[in-house]
Amino acid sequence: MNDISIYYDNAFIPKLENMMEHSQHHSNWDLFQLTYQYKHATLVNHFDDLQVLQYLPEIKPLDYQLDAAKTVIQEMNGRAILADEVGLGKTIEAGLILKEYMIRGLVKNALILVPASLINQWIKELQEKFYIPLVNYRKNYSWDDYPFFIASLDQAKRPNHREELTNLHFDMVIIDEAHRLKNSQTLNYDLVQSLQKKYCLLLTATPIQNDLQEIFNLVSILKPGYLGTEKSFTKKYNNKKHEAINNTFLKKLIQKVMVRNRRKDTLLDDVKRHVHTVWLQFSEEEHEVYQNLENTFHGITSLSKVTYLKQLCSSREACYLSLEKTTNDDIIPQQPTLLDSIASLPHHIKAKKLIDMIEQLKGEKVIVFTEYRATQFYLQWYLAQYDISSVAFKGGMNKGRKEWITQLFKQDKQVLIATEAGGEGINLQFCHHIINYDLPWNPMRLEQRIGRIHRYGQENHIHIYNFAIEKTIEEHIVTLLYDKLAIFENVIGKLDAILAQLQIDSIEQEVKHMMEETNSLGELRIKLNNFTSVIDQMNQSIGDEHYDI
Amino acid sequence: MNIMIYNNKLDIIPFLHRFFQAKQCPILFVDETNIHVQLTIEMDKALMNRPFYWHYIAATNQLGEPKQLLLTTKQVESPEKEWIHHGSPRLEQIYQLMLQENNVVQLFEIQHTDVQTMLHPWLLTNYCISYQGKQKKESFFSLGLNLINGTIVHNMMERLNLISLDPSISAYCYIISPIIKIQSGYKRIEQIITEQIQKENYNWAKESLQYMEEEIEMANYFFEDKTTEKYTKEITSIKQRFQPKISHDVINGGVVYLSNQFLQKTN
Repeated sequence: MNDISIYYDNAFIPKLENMMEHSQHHSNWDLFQLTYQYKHATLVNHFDDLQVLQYLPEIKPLDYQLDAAKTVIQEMNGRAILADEVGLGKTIEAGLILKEYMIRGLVKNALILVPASLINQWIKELQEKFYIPLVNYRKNYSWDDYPFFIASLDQAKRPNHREELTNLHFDMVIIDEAHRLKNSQTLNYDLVQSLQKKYCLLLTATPIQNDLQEIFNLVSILKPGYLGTEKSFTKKYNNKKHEAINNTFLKKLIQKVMVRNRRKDTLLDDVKRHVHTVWLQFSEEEHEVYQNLENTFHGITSLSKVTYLKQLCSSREACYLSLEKTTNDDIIPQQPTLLDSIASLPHHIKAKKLIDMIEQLKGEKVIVFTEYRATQFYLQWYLAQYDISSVAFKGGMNKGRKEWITQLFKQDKQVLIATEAGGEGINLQFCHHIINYDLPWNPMRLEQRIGRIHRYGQENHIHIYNFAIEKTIEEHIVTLLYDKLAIFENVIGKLDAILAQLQIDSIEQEVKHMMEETNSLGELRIKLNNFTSVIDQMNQSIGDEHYDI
Repeated sequence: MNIMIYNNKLDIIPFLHRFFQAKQCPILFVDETNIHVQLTIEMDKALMNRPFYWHYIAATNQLGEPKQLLLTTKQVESPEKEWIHHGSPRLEQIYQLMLQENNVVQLFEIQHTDVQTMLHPWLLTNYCISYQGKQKKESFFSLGLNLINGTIVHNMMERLNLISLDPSISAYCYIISPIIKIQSGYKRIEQIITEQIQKENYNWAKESLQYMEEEIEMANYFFEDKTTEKYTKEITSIKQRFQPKISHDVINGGVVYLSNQFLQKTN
């Protein structure tokens, strides 16, 4: 066939002749055989089968992740939108695709653009799991030494970096949180469009298909012209730009460049979540201290007020330790009294309830999540008083350590007390009870917690117990935020989309601000109510139909 | 006759054992899943990636202390042991090192004899073809060509593995100079491979070309202004991604001098 370019090896014979002429007898038959053996073992015999798993003993991708990687490589030819719902492992899919191309020698360099806050996580994941030597982009970067690098979009679009990057030829460009490219008039968009890229993956959890214009812009990065020109596209499908996609034909077109897994499509949907809110009341002494704390801060616009109250709802220890460190001049005069009153409190009402609950579970394993290290310490000690065995998971532990703790928990401890979700790759599906000892204000964090056990391999229904103390800040969070948003009923993917549309980065920040700026309970209730009803409205207007592309 | 060579799983510990022995690194311990070696200075420099240390040692006129490597095929949580497996960067590093240093050889069949023995020169090539369309695959061949009479032998490495070879010629042996020049011998091998390739089916290339044309057509439609850099880059990328290619690549090879009995012995 004449259309095939053919390249011959012109270096071998000169090298051989040169060696023989100069009689440089470095010939080593052993090493020669080993080179051959290695090539033999790493040969890629097929166009189609994925090779990547043989090279990644540590990764056991789920079926849908593997399918996604195959689809992108075999059917989409390496240019695709990966749009799985949050928590289904888009990074794993991207890693599998990138590594597969590397093994086949099709990708020798890559640029990954992500929000600054995700840089370290990406580096860690690609290095530890995929053995891809990804490094952080910086000034005077040495392209040849480190051909795989990562930067934030904001960094990359600065004029000097932009120029440098657009002059390079990338075999692969990956963009995380790609909904930031939805507007074609931005610097972000222009940068990505200007990059020379062979393969390209756009990762987003936001269901971009709700907006015609957005989807047009994203697809036009991957396959310019696939949806026509902007003019022809708008004319054909709709005059109004920001309208959801109703056209079946268009949906089909988009499916050819996009992979989207949803929780309900994965087998995970068979497992039911049972959510129980466990209402508790502070003892009189506790309530008094709580009131006292609240009054002390009344009128003082302290950023920490909400935090102290939240901590007291978790444990004496958490609140004591953080109050002890205060540097706020308004508080310092009252600090000793407050500290004394906290120190003289009896065991926390939640801790007592915890013992009850664990005893009721009759030896079944349970994970207890708390936001605070101090609470974690306290609980470990307190459980030990009742002969309940436990291990602790905390932030900053390396992967090996976490795996070790996981093993201990699986084999002979009843309780795991964790301050964080444990991170990717830690699977706790042998356990199906979670106690949220205190609730995070960010529903995504909660989803991550639950996600540790609500995953492949979970054979039981899951029970989630949320501890909340009446007449405290916790009551507001549960009744005004969690109940309203029906957080536990698996709408996270959707919530994510709504928040993106409202341009809210984090519910946690939003709620925290509301709490801090508000002095009366009534006012707070109104604010939270407004907030949740806006979300609720959006929720209904997005609806399931458009969401399902 | 099927002359293509298929995948073979790599036996990692024996592979490393042989490698470090060949590199004169003392083996401190080895069992089925672990190997512990004392690196030589040369190997420390090649594998341990600490140029500043060696620079400092040289500058201060010291001897320097090469490191030890403790490799294991079992996944463990221990900072002293390095987990080595099929995809670990360490293996790839060793392969790259061998490719650079040892991809051409000149070797002689070892003869235990007290009579004059003639050795024929053979050209050995371990030959890799890669086919790249929208995907990529490889075929691997090991061919030997007798530089006196032009005999071609497939699976040459498998045959050579059955005899003993050495960089220096055995006593009482002599070599005859090639009648076929190395260059011409190589052309002949290239030709044989090319003929082999021509018999194959080209659906992969056709399919890839079709994708290429479609995407170029779309891009032509999308970019109204064909003079922009964005347009040029897009077209280049599409071609890089889909233009079918076949590359010939000799992984390693050399000239080996073999006795007349070689073919019989290794049949």
